[in-house]
Amino acid sequence: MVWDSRPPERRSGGRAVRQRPGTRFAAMADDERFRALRRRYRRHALTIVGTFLGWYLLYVLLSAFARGFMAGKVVGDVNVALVLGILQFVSTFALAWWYTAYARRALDPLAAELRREAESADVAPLGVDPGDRRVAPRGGRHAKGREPAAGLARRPVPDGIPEQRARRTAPDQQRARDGGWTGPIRTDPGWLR
Amino acid sequence: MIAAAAGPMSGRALTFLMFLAFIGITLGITLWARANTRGATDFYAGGRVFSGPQNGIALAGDYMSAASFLGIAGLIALSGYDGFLYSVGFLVAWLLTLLLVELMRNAGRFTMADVLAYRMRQPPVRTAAAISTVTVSVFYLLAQMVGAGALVSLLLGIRPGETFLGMSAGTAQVMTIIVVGALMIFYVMFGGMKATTWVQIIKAVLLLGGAAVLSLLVLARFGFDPSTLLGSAAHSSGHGDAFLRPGLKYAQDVPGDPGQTIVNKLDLISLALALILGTAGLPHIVTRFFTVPDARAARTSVNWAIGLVGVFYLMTIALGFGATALVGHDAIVAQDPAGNTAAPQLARAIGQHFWGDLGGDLLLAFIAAVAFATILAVVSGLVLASSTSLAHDFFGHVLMLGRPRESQEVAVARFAALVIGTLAIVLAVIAKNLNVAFLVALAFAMAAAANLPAITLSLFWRRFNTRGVVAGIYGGLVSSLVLVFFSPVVSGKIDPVTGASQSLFPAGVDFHIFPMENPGLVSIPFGFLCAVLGTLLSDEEPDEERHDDLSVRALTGAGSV
Repeated sequence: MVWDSRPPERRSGGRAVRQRPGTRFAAMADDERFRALRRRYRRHALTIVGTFLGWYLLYVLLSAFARGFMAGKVVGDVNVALVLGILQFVSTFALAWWYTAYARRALDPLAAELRREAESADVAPLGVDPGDRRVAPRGGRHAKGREPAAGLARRPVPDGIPEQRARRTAPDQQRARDGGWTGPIRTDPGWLR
Repeated sequence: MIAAAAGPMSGRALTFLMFLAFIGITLGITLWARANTRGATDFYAGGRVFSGPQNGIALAGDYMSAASFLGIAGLIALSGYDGFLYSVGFLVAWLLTLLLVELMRNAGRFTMADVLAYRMRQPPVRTAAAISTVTVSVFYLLAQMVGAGALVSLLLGIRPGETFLGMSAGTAQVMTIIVVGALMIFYVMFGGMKATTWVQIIKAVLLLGGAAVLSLLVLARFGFDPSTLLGSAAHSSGHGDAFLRPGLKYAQDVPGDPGQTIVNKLDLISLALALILGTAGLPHIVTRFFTVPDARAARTSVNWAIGLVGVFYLMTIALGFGATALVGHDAIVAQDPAGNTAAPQLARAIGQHFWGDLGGDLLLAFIAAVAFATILAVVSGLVLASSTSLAHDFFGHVLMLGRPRESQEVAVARFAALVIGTLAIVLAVIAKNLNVAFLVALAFAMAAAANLPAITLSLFWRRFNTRGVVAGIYGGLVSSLVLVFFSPVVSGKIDPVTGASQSLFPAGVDFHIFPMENPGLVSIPFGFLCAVLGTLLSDEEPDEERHDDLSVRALTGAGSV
């Protein structure tokens, strides 16, 4: 259902759906832990973009304007220009390694936790408090984030989603779980409507 | 010259046999993939079953085109350091891709437009994205196919006046374009992403293996002393020490013309910007983000690509300088003035040095076959990316308002591959004698100017809206095209010595207004400006709730497929 671009009144076989499409996880954006995740990602992304853009442009500018400096010999016939070029390779490898290590340490666990919560809150059947269905064990580091999560749990559970799920046939569900076609799955051809 | 010395027919037959072996294996893979491709996810994204390392190898394969392998090795062989300078940007660009890949993988399904259109009105955004995807891909495709025609004749050693299997050089060129085109259509139509990925993986392994063997041999020839290699190359190049310094090709100093000197320097910066900002917006790279199960695997694949592409470009230093040192400037230019056969010529020379004539023929045949595999794999990736966008974005979401049946969409994708492939064949045959090497840099500039602003602002700017995406894509695309059309690469560039035209149009036609050859310096900021102004000047309310939803999806992976 995720990618359904049709206006709400045309989804679910013409019945109006209370939840607007494309807003399933919007409430999570106010979660303090999500804001922390976004802040961390943006800070590191900007640092990396700034570093490699600046360093690469410096290298290009030196190649264009500082010819004398670049021609300086370092060892034998190896000059400054070549050494700086090789350093661009080294810095690219280093920045990629640094970002990946940081993401594994500080972004992935938080993202996985938020994802589990958001998805489990979403598929809760009517009448069940999604908060009770949380499977994500939370460490002490983000303990203060419990409050906003409760806010997420108070969201009205969209009734359109489980209903549409029920209309799917079993192989469709299997395919959807396998990462298959998750677009609008219908039993009637759309062009008849 | 390359296949002529010892036994012209034996070496050529060997190359030809290796071509056939590669074609046979890849056709087998395509038939296997055909039997295992059932739905849209299989066709567009290879069923999302590829592991991070596998997809990383395929990404590197998609990226290391014939232009990279033969082109950069040739550029270094003829222009020395400047060829290396050109290759650096291709690698550094991957850092931006690394930062965007997880977000794109999380928020999208098959194409860039899945992310762009998420919180916008679908039809205009999807249409713009499809137009941009097809334009960038077809330009890039054209450069590869025209190059392929000329190259295979060279690799098989067919020179004007000679015939091979009863074909003259000109006929062989046209035949090559048609055969390459037919094969790429076959791979994509029948095998979709699964076949294309495996073709890409095989090709990347062959290419990296071939380049590794050659560079080890070159280094061994010079006693593993890079300084000796460089000194020897500088000596054979005819330029002396200047060969190892910047300035032979890019940002040339023009004595007595400070204006032109500044333009040349800005041109280099313009090229550099397009290279580092364009990669993350290249459609055939973006489509590949979706072939892995999740965002972490996507990140792993980009890390693999960074490692492989980096090692590869480091090896091209040895190949390029080695070719100058061992083959010599004059012998390279005699074979191909653009230097594209420098790597195969080096293979022959180094093979001969270590194992005699037979070794030379074998190594040459192998490297020529690798170059051929490279061309085939890259053009297939490009056709797949554009047919995916046409079917999924334009047909699925614009014509069918987001409700096609899955089987319909895949059928349209296969048909689109046939149409785009045929169009590319026809255009490449028409353009076969034109100098279209600039199209690669143009494709990067368009990807940077049209796609990058739309991608980054969709993900990070809350106010961004439909008008902004559309204005940014068309603004970046059109400004790049217009600037290049009125630039010296299309008309008015004359070789100062011979008076021959170095532009697309023959000498005597000159309507160039824009002084630089690379539009990026102007068109990339212009693309961003259009995206921002388009947003601010429209009274459309931004959909903030959907923006929140998109950022949660992109950063956490919630709801991703």
